Amino acid sequence: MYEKQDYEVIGHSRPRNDAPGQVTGTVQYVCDLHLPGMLYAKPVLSTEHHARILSIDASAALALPGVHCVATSADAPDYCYGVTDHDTPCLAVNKVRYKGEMVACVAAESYALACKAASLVKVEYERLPAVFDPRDALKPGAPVIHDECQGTSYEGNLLLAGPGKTLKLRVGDVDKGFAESDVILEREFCTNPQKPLPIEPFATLAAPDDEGGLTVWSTQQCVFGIAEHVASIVQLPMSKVRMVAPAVGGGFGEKNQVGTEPVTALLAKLTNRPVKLELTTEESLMFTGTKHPMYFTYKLGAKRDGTLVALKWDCVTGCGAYSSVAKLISGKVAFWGAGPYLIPNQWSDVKIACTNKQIGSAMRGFGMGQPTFALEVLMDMLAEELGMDPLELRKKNMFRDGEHMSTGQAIRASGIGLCLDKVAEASGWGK
Amino acid sequence: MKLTFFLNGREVTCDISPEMTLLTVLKELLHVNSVKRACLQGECGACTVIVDGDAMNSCLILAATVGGKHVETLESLGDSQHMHPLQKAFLDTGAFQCGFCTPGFIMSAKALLDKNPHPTEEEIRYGLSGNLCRCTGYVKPLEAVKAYVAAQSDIKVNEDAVQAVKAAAEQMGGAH
Repeated sequence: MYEKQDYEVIGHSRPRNDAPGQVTGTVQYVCDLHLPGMLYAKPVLSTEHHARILSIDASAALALPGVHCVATSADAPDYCYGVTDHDTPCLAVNKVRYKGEMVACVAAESYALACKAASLVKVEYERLPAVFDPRDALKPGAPVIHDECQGTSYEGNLLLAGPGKTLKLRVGDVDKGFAESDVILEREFCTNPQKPLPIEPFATLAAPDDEGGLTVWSTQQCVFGIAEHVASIVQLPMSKVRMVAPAVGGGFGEKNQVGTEPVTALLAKLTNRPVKLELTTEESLMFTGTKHPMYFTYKLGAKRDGTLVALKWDCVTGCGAYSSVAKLISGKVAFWGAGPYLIPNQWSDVKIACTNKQIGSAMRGFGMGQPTFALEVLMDMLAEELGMDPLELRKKNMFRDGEHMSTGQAIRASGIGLCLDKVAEASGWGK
Repeated sequence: MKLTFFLNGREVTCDISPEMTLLTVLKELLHVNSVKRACLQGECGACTVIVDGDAMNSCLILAATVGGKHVETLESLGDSQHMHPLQKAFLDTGAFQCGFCTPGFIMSAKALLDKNPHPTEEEIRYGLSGNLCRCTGYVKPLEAVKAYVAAQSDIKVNEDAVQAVKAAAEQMGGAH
């Protein structure tokens, strides 16, 4: 076992390279970037949860001197972006699927002018029935949110994931496992859709260059994954799109997917000017994602001595109006729903439902937090039921090197026992 | 309309419209780097500057009201080669993570310390209460300001000692 004196970096405090710039204010974020001739953008966000767009009238906005452009989906190519499923338009097409979806975007000489122009854009909606709870979204008769991608990405509001449409895991025989159990607990858990809310709101600066290309500065953390979508929106080869990520003012998961880049790039193309789109915190709250809310049903069977025998659980998660990272998050949930425990008999099913809520986002743990919360609370309940020390219950069932996880992955160096011992010692457990 | 004010001790004049906020003038017209644009409604404190000695959210002040006044931003404190001890205290304490809220925190602390060089912990907490951080939290910035105050007090003690030594030397000199 190595101690910190054996290392030069681990366990030691080392100065950060960017630290002097942070305390002297020279570090540049997107909001600190300015280019000659730069226009300011202001979005028009949907005021409806689910509605057909009947008309968009931008004439009053365009009549203001200094307003260069009011982009709508009519100005964008027929292209939807997405991480696993291409279902997200850069500006709403025909209908809006959540309150806060971008319907139009103004580019003007100043931010104040852009705000004034955006307030003059008239959008006429025909309200449609909306659904907010992912469990309701999967019921027969629920309003269908994605009419276009039926059969490819969605079946009703179910986002199709994996060959079985939902994410399933089957190990051993759960019925037999429950029959052999001395204690069986059945509980339901749900987690709420938190906002990551970094202090720096989403922002993008896009500027055409002299060689027919486009440079995009973005607040997102993984800008290269966004390049192909920007290229498709402005109809340039990817080699002509340069993505730059300056300093990021916090992300917590939210800045892990496509944000305001495609629409800003579109405005830069339409105006042939550098364009900066900076959301306010309020707009960020409406436009950007939330942690995926999840609804779990857990059934856990154990022997009187605490040995876990069977686990059956299912989860319905709400991905919001568009798929984004929902399948990747849900894959993590499916993978980790049984926690770091060896349970011989398992049955699980994870369903992803589309709702008229903000797009689900990565947030602190990327799908790990929700099932961990549910299962660990259930483990505490089981310990209480068995009259057993919760720490002992976990140590009895935790991953052991040489064994296999429920997905078949070999466990070679889990370190969990060491970790639990350290936590118990540091927290004075049992004293 | 013309607006003339003092930015970090230097007189500046710019053309503004009546509805412009001080934040708009500092970011859009003067391109001041350290001031951050975020909530635009006085919630987060990332745009905090000092106006005639008071820490203020520049997003809530109409620019027209600062005519003739002194506005200080983080640029007035020091650069990476010549840091103000308060900046050094934030650096040494590690009182930031993403850094977006840091200029606002330091300016709030500066405004407090300019008026009250020896604040209590309660007073420091109150002084920083207008600034939101989402990464590090509030313990480290609090520690940074406390460390700065403690260091300044040490220096003051040392200065007293120096004065005492000087006075003694003079007396001894007089005795010669």
